[in-house]
Amino acid sequence: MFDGLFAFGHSIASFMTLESIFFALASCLVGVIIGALPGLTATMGVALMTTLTIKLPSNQALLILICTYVGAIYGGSRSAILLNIPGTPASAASCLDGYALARQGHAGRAMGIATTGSVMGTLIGMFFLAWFTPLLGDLALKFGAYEFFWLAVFGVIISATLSGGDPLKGWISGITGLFIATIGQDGIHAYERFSFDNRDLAGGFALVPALVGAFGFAEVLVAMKERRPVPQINPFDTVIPKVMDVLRYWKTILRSGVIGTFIGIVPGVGEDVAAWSSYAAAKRASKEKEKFGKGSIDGLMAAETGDNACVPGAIIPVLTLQVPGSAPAAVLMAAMLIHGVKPGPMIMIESPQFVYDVVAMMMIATIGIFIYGLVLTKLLVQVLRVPTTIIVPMLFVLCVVGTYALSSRLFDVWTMLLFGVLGYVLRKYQFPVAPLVLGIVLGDLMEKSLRRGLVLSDGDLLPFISRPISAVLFAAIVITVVLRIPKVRQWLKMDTSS
Amino acid sequence: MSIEIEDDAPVPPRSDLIAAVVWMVFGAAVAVGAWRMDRLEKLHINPYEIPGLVPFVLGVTILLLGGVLALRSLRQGALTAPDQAVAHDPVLLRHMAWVFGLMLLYALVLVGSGLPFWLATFLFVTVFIGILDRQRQNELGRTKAQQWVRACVYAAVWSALVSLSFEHIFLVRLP
Repeated sequence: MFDGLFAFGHSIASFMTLESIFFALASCLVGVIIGALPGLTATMGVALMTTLTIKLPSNQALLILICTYVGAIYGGSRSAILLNIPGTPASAASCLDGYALARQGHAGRAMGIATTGSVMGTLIGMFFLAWFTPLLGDLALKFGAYEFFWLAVFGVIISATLSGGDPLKGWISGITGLFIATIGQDGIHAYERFSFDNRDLAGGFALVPALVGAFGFAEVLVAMKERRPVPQINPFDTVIPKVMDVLRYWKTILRSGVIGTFIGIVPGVGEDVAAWSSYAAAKRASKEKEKFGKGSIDGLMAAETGDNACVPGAIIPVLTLQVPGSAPAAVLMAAMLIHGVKPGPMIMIESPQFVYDVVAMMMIATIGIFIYGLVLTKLLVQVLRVPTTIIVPMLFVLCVVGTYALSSRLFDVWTMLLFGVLGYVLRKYQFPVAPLVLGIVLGDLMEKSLRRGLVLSDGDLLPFISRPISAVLFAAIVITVVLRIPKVRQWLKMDTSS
Repeated sequence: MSIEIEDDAPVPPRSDLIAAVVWMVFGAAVAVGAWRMDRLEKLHINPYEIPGLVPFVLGVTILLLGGVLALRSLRQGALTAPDQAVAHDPVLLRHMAWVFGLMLLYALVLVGSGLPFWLATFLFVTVFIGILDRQRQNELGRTKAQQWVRACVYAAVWSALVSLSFEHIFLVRLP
């Protein structure tokens, strides 16, 4: 235990330079602004920042990305409370009680609650990140090709099922993502697949341009389509969080923090599900259920604690299994690989200090959002008033130049455009984009694991379902899929409308 | 991951049927392409390592899932129900055509055409704001000249900021 504390102290000390502090504060600010602007998500923020930080040393680049991620998830609460529009999907649950409080003249109090919840949630998640990563790392060492194959499939299936809307469309989207990952040279024999003799395509689609397209370009297109008017924002009272709120709602904070973290650990689920689950659990446990949706502090605290606790939670499987817990964590994982950090089961053996570096980055990001929670509200209100017609072209320029900066080739810009248009069309027909992206991220792991597993077992499928961890993952996939079949839901008397 | 569906209005069954057919054709094309792929027999590789194995399985899965979507949309009356397609708002269509057109023009034509990056960016941002922010500017009572001057100022600042920071801080040779 003390080894861990010493390692954490060492990591914190390594970030105590003027340069790192500046990068942390600046990227938290960027994150909060991106999160607060409706239509722009944490994934987009992290993807864009990945392209901008490509030349920086790995620890500073990852510090910037984690601060952006934490800042964006927190920033989403601002527009949820002030405008009744979630800045990011993770803040949708905060609209219910946050905006109700604002309408009652307590917008400042609501923002203070959001700051308290977000800070406490990140701290709880951070604690689990430090505690669970070594434990899960030990478990991950037991994973072989069979387990990794099912884990990749499970990530795509669960992400598709919980992405909102139609699971069938989510599965199609996810499987397509897995297919896209196979384009280019295969990982075992370097055989070119679906490249049509195109030299650029032979290398496959680079992950970050695809992510910037699917979440950046597609999101700016959606923002332009919605043509949201410049909002009118009511005046608000003090935004300073109260210690009493922590003491009074400690049970809600603790419960939501644990729920958020564990939902984060589940591959491919993410912050919005964490927020809604925490909100639902708080409502079930509350003695004042009737206040939920009408300005319940308990509800707002639960949603904000849950979504922010999910951020460190989503990084746990990235570090130990190389499987992202959420869409922004998928981008973060891609950035780690670009910067030469190799997450996965061997991380606690090869580079244990890196795990504590990530915990320290999380701590610094928490301090960042706390500072901005106290001092930034008036500036944020001004940012929310900037019309999308001015922000969108500027963001699009960043999408273009950022993807070009990755490896100075125009093919990456074309990839970004292709995935942007694809993401926009998929959204239009209500096919979720997150499973597609997760499929692209996990495709290589899934394919290599399947082919290795088949070679090891000489074509026998039994080891895929007979080993304990494989059997659990396989059962989880089957149950997830079967429970979405309408006839099964009718038979089990489950709600068929959802 | 994220609950990111664009709007809550359900997609009409006919649109789902069209999408399903597209997915089925796509899945079939992937499966056929994978089936025809070289099996590298001359390299004497393990048959479970052939490059087309996974794409074939994925293609067939997409084909099957597309089939399920098609069946479901047919059961929901995709062929029998009156066409519920929402009438497209011509103003919105024109607006989105401008957005798409300008963005594609910038990314595909201006960038990398030999035009300096700062100039391409300046032109793109100016024209984008000048055209697509016009309605809001008109509501604010600004004259056309004022609108274009503002657009130029925003574009000049952003173009300079991005060009300088990428060239001198991120050390990227811009296209």
